[in-house]
Amino acid sequence: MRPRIDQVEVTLIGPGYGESAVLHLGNDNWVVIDSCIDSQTGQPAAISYLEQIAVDPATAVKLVVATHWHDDHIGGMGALLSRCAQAKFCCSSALGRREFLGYVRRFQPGAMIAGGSGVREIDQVTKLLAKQLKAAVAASANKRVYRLPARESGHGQECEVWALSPSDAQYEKFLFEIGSLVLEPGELKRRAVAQRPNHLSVVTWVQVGDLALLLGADLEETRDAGTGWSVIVTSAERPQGKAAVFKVAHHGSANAHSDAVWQMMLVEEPFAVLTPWSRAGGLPTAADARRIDELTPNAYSTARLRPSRGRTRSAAVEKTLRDAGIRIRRAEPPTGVVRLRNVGARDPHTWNVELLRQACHLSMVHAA
Amino acid sequence: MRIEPELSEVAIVLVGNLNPRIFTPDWFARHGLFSVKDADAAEIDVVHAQVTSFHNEWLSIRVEQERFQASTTVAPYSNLLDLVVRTFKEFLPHTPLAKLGINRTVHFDVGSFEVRDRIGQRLAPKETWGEWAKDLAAGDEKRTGGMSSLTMVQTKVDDRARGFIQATVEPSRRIGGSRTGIYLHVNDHYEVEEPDKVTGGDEMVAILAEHFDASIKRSEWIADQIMRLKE
Amino acid sequence: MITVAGQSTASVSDEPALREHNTQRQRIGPAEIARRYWSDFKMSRPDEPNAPGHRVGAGTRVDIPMTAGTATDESKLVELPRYSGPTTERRISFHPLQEWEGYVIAVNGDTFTVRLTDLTRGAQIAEEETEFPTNDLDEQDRQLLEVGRVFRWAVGYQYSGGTKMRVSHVVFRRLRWTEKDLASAEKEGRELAAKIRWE
Repeated sequence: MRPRIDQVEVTLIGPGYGESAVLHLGNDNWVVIDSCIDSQTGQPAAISYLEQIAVDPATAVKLVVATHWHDDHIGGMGALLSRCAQAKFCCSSALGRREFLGYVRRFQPGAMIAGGSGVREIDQVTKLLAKQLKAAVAASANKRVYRLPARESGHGQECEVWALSPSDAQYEKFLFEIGSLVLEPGELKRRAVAQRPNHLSVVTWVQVGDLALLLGADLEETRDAGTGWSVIVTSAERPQGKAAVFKVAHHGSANAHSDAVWQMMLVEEPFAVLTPWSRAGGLPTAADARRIDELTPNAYSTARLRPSRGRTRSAAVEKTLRDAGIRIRRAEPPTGVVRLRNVGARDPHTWNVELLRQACHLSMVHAA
Repeated sequence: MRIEPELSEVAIVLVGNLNPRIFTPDWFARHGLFSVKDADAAEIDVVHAQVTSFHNEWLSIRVEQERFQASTTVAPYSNLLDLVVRTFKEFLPHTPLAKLGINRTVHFDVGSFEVRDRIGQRLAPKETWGEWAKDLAAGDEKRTGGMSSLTMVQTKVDDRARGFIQATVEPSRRIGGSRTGIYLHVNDHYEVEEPDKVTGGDEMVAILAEHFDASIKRSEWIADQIMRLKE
Repeated sequence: MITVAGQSTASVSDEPALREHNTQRQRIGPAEIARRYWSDFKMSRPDEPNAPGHRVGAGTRVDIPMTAGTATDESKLVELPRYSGPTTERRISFHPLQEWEGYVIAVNGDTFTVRLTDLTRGAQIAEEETEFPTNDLDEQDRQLLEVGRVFRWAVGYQYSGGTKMRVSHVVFRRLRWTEKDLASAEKEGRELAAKIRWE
């Protein structure tokens, strides 16, 4: 069921080889941040979700944000953007630089090596932008990227979406990184490999009247004063206030944790949501989950990190795999949904939480 | 495919202007296209200005002045694809190539002569031949009349400006004691738009690179349409 | 004296079909060879592999099919080197029951972790994951093993000399960037970037 026109909603969907946040600002005005593929429908998860609650993406979605280009945040972005006919597209302008697009274009279909969903989706998106079918809003630190006037919001509050990053320093680091991906003729073709830490992550701040939401994308804390969370927390130019809902950065990893964010940018015991990531041993780790749990009892994950078997195949194939000692597992847990809706205009600071499909409380993320 | 073939082959054929003499196993090894082991294991049939032919366990290469053919009976077929693409893209980009065929061949067993005969009857009903039908039907398992070969051609194919897809089905003479096997060959054929103006291999190699996987899949889907008749 | 295999024409042609698997030999002159090679329906098919005794993957015979009524002039025959086909029977045939495309996501010393896209099912994304022992690779692939390397993995039945067995083949792809690939990508990137309008 769709939210009422005066309700604010934050819905986090994932994994699905990624994550996607779908926000209702009010009066059927929606914002989508990042994209992933729904493991059940094979469609962009945001599209599946909106259609399920009888919202037409073509008219309702006003802004789509790509926080960065890595596989786990952009799956289905091309199809999503095509469906959201009225939406503007927002990302760092570094993704439109010729150096980066030259890198992306290496992996066009005739290359015979799939670059990965990241480069494939960016390729589709930039072609849409190049055809001038969409204007692109460049995200950079402390820039307002979207505004919904109070008279159109359904609840009488002005809504704003801000980018809090990337900073100039992060932008430069990203360009340096792309520059280091120079290839020489004769080199072996490999799939595009995302570099970490992610310098170009777009952190978004959503303000609805005096209600605030913080979506941390993949930003990791760094020792460099010009990058990471420190530069955001200490900025005097960002929107001030404290967020009631926090999309935890980088799957809850310790590298992305900043005490300063929890102290200075979040209310006490905010709603904290994340999608797990099953690579590299899995994130959040048990220690990460405990850490976040201690900071707020209102912490949720869209899925559990539970290894599960891959598909079952013919007897001959299964026997061959067994004889070779090979066990195939699902790369990602099935998609789940954490939906937060506030009560509405009369009580915007009270939230209801729904855990749909595989979603669970964060304390259960490692439970069998 | 719903029936596992007993014999299975993929062949890439390029038509153009070639010098057969250069395509020796050593040449392939020197350019890193073959391992030294594969080059050493190759059995050379002939190396000549007009034809070169050699083979090893998984690969067969035959080159004539107007035709290059590489075939394999061993999956994954990307091995063959990569070899051909690298040969003409990295090392022989100026070889004029005007036509490309991606060929898929399978021989599969339908279990009994009756089933095979029934399939042949469905594909080419003897009754169509009127009064000759009863003479066609005469014979026994060892020597029977009926469909000997059938070829179907799709002339309009969306993914190419010029070309066609051709499928041939026949009783197999290689498996099933020539009684229970069916042979099916799909030739997926592409041509440059202006064969007289071709000066290199870019266009054909790009098509091969982009369409090979889909072509094999489509050929197997076509094979499946015939295999379906067994049910 | 050997003859060179001709090429069958497409069935839509009016020309009599040249049945390459018809095993009777024929000698043809150079004019006929040229005509067959340069016909509009010059086929991109390999030699017809449905002849009894045709050796799959083991070289090709060079028999020319017989067609009725074709005159020959023996004095104009093309001289080709003596060529005897291979003496061994059919070699290996391996058809995949299941095939994946995979890429390396981590190298862990004795093992490497990969993500897999199920090609047999027509999947578009890498939904599965597993580990392989590094020792299963040959020396060259082991040296080239790094994150991002792409491979194909096929599992199925292999037929060899009358024996049937289940096998699993992993083959790393060794495609390389050419100067043309990189220059072309750079140019396209530049052109795309110039067209994007930013607010």
